[in-house]
Amino acid sequence: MSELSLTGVTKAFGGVQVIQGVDLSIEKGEFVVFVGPSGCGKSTLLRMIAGLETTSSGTIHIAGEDVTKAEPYDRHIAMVFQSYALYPHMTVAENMGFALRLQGVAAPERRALVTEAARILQIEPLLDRKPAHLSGGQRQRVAIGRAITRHPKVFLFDEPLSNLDAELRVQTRLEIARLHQALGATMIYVTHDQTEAMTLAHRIVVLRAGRIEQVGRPTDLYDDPDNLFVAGFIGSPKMNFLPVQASGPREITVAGQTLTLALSVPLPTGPLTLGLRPEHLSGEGPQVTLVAEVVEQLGQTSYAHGKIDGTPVIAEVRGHRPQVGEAIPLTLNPSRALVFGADGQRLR
Amino acid sequence: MSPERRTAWAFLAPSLVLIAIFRIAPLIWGAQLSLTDARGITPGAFIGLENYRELAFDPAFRDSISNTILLIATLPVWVCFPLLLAILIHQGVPGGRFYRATYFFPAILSSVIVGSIFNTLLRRDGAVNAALKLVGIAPTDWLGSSHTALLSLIAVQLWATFGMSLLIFLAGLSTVPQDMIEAARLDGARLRHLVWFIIIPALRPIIEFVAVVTTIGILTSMFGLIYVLTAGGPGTSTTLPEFLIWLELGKLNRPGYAAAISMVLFALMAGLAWAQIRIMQRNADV
Amino acid sequence: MSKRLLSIPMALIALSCLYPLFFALNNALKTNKEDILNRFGLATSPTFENFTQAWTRSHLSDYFLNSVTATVGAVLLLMLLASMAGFALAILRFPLRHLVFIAILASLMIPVQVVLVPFYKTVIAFGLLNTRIGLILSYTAFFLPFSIYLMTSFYAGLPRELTEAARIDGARFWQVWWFVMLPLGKPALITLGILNALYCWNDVLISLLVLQDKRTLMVGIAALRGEYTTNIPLLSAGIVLAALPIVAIYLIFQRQIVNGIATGAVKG
Repeated sequence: MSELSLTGVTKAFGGVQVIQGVDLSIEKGEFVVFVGPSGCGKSTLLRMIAGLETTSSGTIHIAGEDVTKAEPYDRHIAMVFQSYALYPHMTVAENMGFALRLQGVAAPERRALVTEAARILQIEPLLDRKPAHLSGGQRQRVAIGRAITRHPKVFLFDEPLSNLDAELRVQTRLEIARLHQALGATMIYVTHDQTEAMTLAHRIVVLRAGRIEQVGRPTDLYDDPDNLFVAGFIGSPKMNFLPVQASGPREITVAGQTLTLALSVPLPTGPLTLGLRPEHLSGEGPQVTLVAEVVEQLGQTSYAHGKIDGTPVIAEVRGHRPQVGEAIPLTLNPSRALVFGADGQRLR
Repeated sequence: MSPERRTAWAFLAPSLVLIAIFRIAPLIWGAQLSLTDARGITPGAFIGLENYRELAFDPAFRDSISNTILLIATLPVWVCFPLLLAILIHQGVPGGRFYRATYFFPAILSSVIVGSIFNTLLRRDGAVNAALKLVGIAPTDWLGSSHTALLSLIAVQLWATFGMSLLIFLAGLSTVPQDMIEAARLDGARLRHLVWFIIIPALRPIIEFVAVVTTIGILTSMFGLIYVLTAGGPGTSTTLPEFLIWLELGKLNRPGYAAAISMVLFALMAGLAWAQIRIMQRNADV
Repeated sequence: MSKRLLSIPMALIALSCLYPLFFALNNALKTNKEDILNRFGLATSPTFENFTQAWTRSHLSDYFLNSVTATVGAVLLLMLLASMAGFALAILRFPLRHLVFIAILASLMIPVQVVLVPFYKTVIAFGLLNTRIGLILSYTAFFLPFSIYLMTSFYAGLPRELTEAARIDGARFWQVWWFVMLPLGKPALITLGILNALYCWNDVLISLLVLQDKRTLMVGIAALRGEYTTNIPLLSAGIVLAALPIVAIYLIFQRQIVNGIATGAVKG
């Protein structure tokens, strides 16, 4: 049985449907990331799982128990907030032990559990301080510690890294991954940052406008996106999209070149979109030339920005450092090319 | 009912009950009472607007209204005096913190204490006249003469409350962005330009607020002072509606009539208080 | 610069703010005879006779106790009720929330003068006339709307996540209030407590109505003024005694009072 399952879950605020029928099941011990642009409903969905928002219709089960109408404290969950939400008037130890105190756990036992969690996060020296005297990174650890202390069935993270600076963010990301391995707990993590999603998740749930666009392993979403939205959202820099027409059942024409694709169904007539990642513009296939208008040098690689057939294209260049104005030969590799129909769905 | 709603109502219930019993129910009861000819403790018969008609011709009531209007006419002084002092303190007159604390000092004193002290100062054989006599000025019966009594009352109340308005202005001034003032300074603005073009426009909501609060204060918080300083006299020269209600209640024989005066005061209050609530609600952000 | 010049009128105004109470203190140290001869001169041979007289023979000690009881009772009740109501209005979501908030603010429009007659009758009807509990409840009812407003705006300014974190930690709503909001509201509650203490201590009208045969200190002072019009030193001693607690509180909590009033009136 799955640890968490959502069945036909919807949410309406006033007349606006912000979550439109989400079905999802998450296995015990899984690390699932909800990702999507702002306003896609990912945080709302997380808050519905937490019980902070009511569910308009559908059901939520946690560990086989229907918790759709349950209060947050009956759901066996813990949550880490973006703003940490530490209680300013309590010490770190009191913050971490608050849930246990509410459960009526005796003080010595509480202290032991808090110390244990603090040891895992290496924040033992901070236990008697107040949150105001901690750095952002330390507060973040305490917020995570507060969740660990309770041994919940499901951990919820609501954009926990977005208030940290870049370096700390990478470091904490690693720690969360390590923590997940150590605890083996079920975790749901909300972010708008696709790098966080790719690096942390077992499975990624891509949301848009209150709907699930695709669910899958990070590599699956990268290699085999179901639609234009997922293809564009996952990967950095973004996938290049070129408007094309079918010139045969398995042939398209782009920039004067013809690409033969291995598809199981024949292409429809009408406008199509060809997707090629900047890092996939090499290998076997027809050649085109990109005149670099802007070049971003990253040291190991460079990104050249130019136009093909009037459409902006980014190409990753390895091996040499291109200059502005240079004509860069690119390959339209049919084995890497993805085709999307007029409705944005992938044609395989 | 969800636990959230249940908790909300349980937490509000005691407050709502108290407010309902001691404020809202009496208001409705008072409105009803004002339409009767109740005398003493016997509930009176319905007489419509008779009390209000009588009120219109009651010289004491008319005096109390004209006194109120006179008081409200002095409103600019009540606003400008503390505003000026607040700007001076804000612009860094030496000892600003001391002035702030000192100017507010009279505001913490009870109107009874203020009234009693000023009574000993201003009465015919009081200290002010004794001092005037020393420099050869003829003594004035500040509180006993109908020419000066209201003026004295206004002066004492202004003395006792300007610190409050000053504090509110100072709080407002601290929200005027300092970089705006600095930018204006760089543009060559002098203090008077700053006050006129930057500070006053930025303070407009606060000025409104002080004006409304002061007016409400004039209507409803001068009882204590009148009670000990002049007792409404001489004659009716310092009687305000709130004091008149008290006098009518003291006679106790015509609660219906007293209630009618209350309703007039309420009508005066309502418009003002509504303005105040709008300002407060804007500030509370809920 | 001209700033120095401005110091003169500002210092004079400051002097005028302090002088009257000093004047009363000075008078209180005189004998009646000395006062008649010398209205505003310094007391030549200070005596505390007036204070002991006012305290014992004029029953100020009894009045003092009444004022303390009523003020402390009302202030504690006000802090408790305002914190609860403010929590409900700012944090909890329930139908009619906005309407209740408006209604409470609107009741500010009903000062005691406006409901004097029926309020008096209500107090009698509930058997609260001449009881201290009646005075405590009356004070609470009249100072509650502003207190609730203050607490509501304070709680509305706290991050919502604090409540949510507490809920996730397993707190029932009342526990969110007790464990999180009540301790966090301490600065606002202190401000509110001090302000309400001032209002209650300084009140005349409500206590004049409710506590007729017991008298609070302010009513007592007003009566003293009527009884001893000729004995200014005795009256002044009463005035000084009545002002003393408030002056002491102001000296100790000056910063909180000054800041509290400012934030209470105009937030942020």
